[in-house]
Amino acid sequence: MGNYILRRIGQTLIVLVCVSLVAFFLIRLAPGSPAVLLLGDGATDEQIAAKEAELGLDKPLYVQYFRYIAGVFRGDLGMSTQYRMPVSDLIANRLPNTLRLAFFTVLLGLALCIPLGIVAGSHRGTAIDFFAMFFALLGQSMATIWIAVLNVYVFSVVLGWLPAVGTGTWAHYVLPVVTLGYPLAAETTRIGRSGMIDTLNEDFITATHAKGIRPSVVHWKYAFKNAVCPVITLVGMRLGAFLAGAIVVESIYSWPGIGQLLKTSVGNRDYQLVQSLLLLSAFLFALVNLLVDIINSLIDPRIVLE
Amino acid sequence: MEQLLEIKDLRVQFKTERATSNALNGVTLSIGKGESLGLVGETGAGKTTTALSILRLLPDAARILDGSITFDGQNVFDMTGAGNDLSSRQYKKLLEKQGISETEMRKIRGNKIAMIFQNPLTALNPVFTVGEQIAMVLRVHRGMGKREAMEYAGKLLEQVGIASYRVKDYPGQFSGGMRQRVGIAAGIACNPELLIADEPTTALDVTIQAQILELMKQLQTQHKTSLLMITHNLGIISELCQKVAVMYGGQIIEYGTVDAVFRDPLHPYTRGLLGALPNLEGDRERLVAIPGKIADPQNLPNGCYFNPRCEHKCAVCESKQPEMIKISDDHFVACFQAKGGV
Amino acid sequence: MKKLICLLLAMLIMASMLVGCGGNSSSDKTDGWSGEPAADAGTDAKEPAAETGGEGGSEGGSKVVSIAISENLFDLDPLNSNSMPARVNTFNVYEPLMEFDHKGTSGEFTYCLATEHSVDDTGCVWTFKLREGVKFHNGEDFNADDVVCTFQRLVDDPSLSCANQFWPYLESVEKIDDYTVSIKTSQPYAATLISVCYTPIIPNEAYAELGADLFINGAMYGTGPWIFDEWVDGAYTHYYKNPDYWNKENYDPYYDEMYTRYILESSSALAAHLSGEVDAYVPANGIDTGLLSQYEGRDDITLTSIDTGTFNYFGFNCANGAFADINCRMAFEYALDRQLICDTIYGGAAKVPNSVVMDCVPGYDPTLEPYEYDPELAKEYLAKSSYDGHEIVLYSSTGLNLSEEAMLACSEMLNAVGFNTSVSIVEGATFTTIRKEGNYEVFYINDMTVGGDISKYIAQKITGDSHKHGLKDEKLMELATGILLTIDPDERAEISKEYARYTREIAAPHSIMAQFNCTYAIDNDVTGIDLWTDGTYGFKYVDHV
Repeated sequence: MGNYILRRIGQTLIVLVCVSLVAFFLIRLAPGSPAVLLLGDGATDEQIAAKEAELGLDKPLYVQYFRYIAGVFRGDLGMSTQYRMPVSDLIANRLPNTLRLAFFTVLLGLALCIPLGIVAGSHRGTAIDFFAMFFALLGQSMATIWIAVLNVYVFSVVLGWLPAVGTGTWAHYVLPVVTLGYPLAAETTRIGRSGMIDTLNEDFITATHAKGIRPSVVHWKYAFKNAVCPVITLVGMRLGAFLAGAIVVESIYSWPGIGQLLKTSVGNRDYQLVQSLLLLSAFLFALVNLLVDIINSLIDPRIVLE
Repeated sequence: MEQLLEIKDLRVQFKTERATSNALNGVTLSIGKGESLGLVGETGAGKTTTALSILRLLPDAARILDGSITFDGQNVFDMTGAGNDLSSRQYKKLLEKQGISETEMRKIRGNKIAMIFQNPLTALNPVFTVGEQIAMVLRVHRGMGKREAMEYAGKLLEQVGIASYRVKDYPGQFSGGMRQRVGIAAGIACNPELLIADEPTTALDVTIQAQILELMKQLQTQHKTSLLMITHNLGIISELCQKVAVMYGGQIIEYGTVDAVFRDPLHPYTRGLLGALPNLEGDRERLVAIPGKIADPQNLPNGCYFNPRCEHKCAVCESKQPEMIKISDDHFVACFQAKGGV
Repeated sequence: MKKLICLLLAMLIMASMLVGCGGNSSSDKTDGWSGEPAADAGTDAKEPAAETGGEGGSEGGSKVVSIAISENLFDLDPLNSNSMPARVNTFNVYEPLMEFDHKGTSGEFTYCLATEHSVDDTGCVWTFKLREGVKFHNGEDFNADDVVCTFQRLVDDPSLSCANQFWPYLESVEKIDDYTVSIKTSQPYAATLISVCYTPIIPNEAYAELGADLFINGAMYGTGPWIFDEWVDGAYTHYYKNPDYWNKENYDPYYDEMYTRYILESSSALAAHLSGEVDAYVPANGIDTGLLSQYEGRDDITLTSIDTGTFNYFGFNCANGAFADINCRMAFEYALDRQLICDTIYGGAAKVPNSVVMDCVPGYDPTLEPYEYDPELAKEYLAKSSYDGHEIVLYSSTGLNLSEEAMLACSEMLNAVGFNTSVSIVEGATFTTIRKEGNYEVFYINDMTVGGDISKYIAQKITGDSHKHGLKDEKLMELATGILLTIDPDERAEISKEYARYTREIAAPHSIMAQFNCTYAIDNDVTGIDLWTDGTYGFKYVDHV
């Protein structure tokens, strides 16, 4: 296991280097100089040139790149041009919000999809199966932004039960988590259900019944474990995306996470911030993937990590 | 001798969107305490369906049309005269009403009646340890705690010839033969009165087969368990069983002690089966194959199901179904052409 | 082994969540969410807002007001406030030497940190007497050293937005005595007092110690009625009342705390207002006309509409391309039905001004004839011009409200008279670059008459030519410079009128399209929010009825 983790870390490093290169060059391809955007309308050409020199943008590209990478290794992610604050501080301020949103979303998703998937799969064709599939279809069909706006309208404006924007109390978490968690639960329910159906067709399930085990135990304990790996994998993928920042939800609910940060920093050509955010997202994604693989290998002994 | 298991005139039909399959068409047999019965027949004859019926574990697509099964005096079910035009809810109700409750049935499964499945590669849950799959029976039926059950599972593994420390291993870490032993260990864990072995050695090679059979013989001697041995291998039957029932087209067509039936097979099919065995001594003769294909449960012929392949058939065979007739105390056969009958 | 890994993983996950939870204690504040339902949304029931608790969370008796604005704050540096959120933040905490009503050079000026002022004959030396007994929030005394420190910073770093927007001619600052300073400009800049009102005074001792890090670390020490508490990026800024404010007699706010909430999404801000989480919604450029209907039936909220000096205009490239030819420009002017666009696309929330010297700035000439819509005349001009029929791209920015709709309409109108136009709405940063490099023939964007005066507009875009219009008309430049450097208000007004007339005559470098009416929504019981006619606003004096 230890060797495996080391190898994965090595792979991740390679991925991060590639991502850093892509991020570095891609953001510079977009027209617009950060100096111009920073100084605004009144700046003279000399002032702009001076600012660009200050930001190190007059140096050749490879020098800028290596300076950045060297900084990353030292833990210095550079200075944001819009905020004039260290990038690491900015990210540190916002990342916890994104992490918490992602965490609770995954929690809600799993809490919904596991029971629904198991019950729907083991009671195929019954009313509860129909309800579960309807629930899943609805969740997959509705666009996240629509769910978000609808939630705000119904629960904040009309009913006044929950706050529309911001973060702070547990009440602030409800709408954003539901907005992201419901579609997640919807798609994972389908996967869980079909996994259950496939599993229940296996001989060993009949054998388990033949041992006199109660059906609920057969489904929830013995069949479930076989069906759960694809669910974990899918949740992992979605979690990776959430960690990169769920932009729609962050915008609608004014949730100060890193998704919003990425959006504004691209718009303002804040090179250092964009590069670091993309690097961070790639890193988090790789971490989540590793986690998913480890968890799956612990659940299913046939999955051998090597 | 009071019969431990009695199956009377069991008829089971499988209905899917595509076709209706008459799997069992009037199966009658019984097993006494301590007795071992071999159920022989080709693939598709209905042997596994019989086994699952005993445990009341037929899949949802199956319908019991008629018949009853009694075990140890308890009425597993009695669907005499049920017919095939019940709605699924009516069917379920009738099934439970005319027999013991599901809760009672669960107390029997794995406990009084245990089953060993055919394919050891698929009969064990790959994500649970073998110990867990044996221990679960112990926890449910013997009320053992987790640790106790695991320890006992280890002992059971020793009994079937596997080192006890391997309770923590997963099925994937065992060969086919060893997995089957695990299956057997789980089967005998609660000292069942009846052990149903559904082709336990079919998926294994010959040398392993021999070991498994040795094992089963041992256990039989030790625990005096009744055995329903389902197989298409006549050699196994002659090794292990006292009685034999030959199944064709979902019916028992010949029945009796192994001695009587093997020495003097009366039904053309049984004769064909025995004739199909290669002769190791004497002249190497050509193997005699039974011409034709096995009866298709979706499309059964009129009269005796074997008649299309039978070289002795006559007019009545094509129109009427033969009844089981007694040749002697130890020998029964269902055939119009059988000697000593009619 | 496996169990150990499981345990480690679980601990790792939990730890990261806890770090998240613990690290940002500020985000646990409820800023406005009192958990109480909104005042009956959409019904006719009249409930005085005070009873429903709609005025933000009232925990433990602390009275809190929350105001939502539509942009994010990036930079706390008071001398680098080049966005609305930044200006709002700066002027809550810091104060300038003088304040005014944002009605340009002929507006009403009052003294704030200064007590009197005078200007010498050259119009270049401005002397201010300073108020005594004022303290900064960190206890420092306010005196001439602070003013010198502030202005010296502007002299040393002209790239600071306060410098490059308001002080094009700042030369030096001098301390006369502890409570007297003089500021010297290289030219007699007419809008100097306006610029003074836009220059917040920073504490020199704190600044000497930490420099600009002062602001990065959130050590915002001003003299104003609100003390800066914290800024949560992307969420809000929190202030609490300054108990020792020097002007307490005249302004002692009812509220103990204020939050400015940054809610970028307009529908979300609206929802937050309707549900009671904020007490006012004051977005840049006003609330979208399409969303105003949501406020119907809410008798506890007042909608205030202001005719502002926020305007949209077309900028021509007068050096290269089709519009170097005046006939082309004239054709363009007559081809557009501006009133129609204001009525339909801007939903009546805009009107057509007769030039950039609008009705809210000094020098407005109501007798100047308005833009006319005459497609036949346009065709005539186009025929006379040297336009060769090549495709002209109308550039605008995605950041400008309804830019695509407006450009498509204009394109239709222009094509109808014989132009061959297409529309390109590009992202904000790209647009800025195109404009900065002069890579366009015509663009459409907005601006504001900041301070109620067009001096910033003239300095940056006309004489400064920051958008490379390339116009080399001597008369126009002379008039423009005149507007910048004429101190006498009457003379200046005359020059402005002349400028307006002349820029219409040559239809260059800009063609004004629309002047906007901005609507803001404020709870009835909240007062003191300054909504100025230049389209900007301030929350410094927010109060309760």
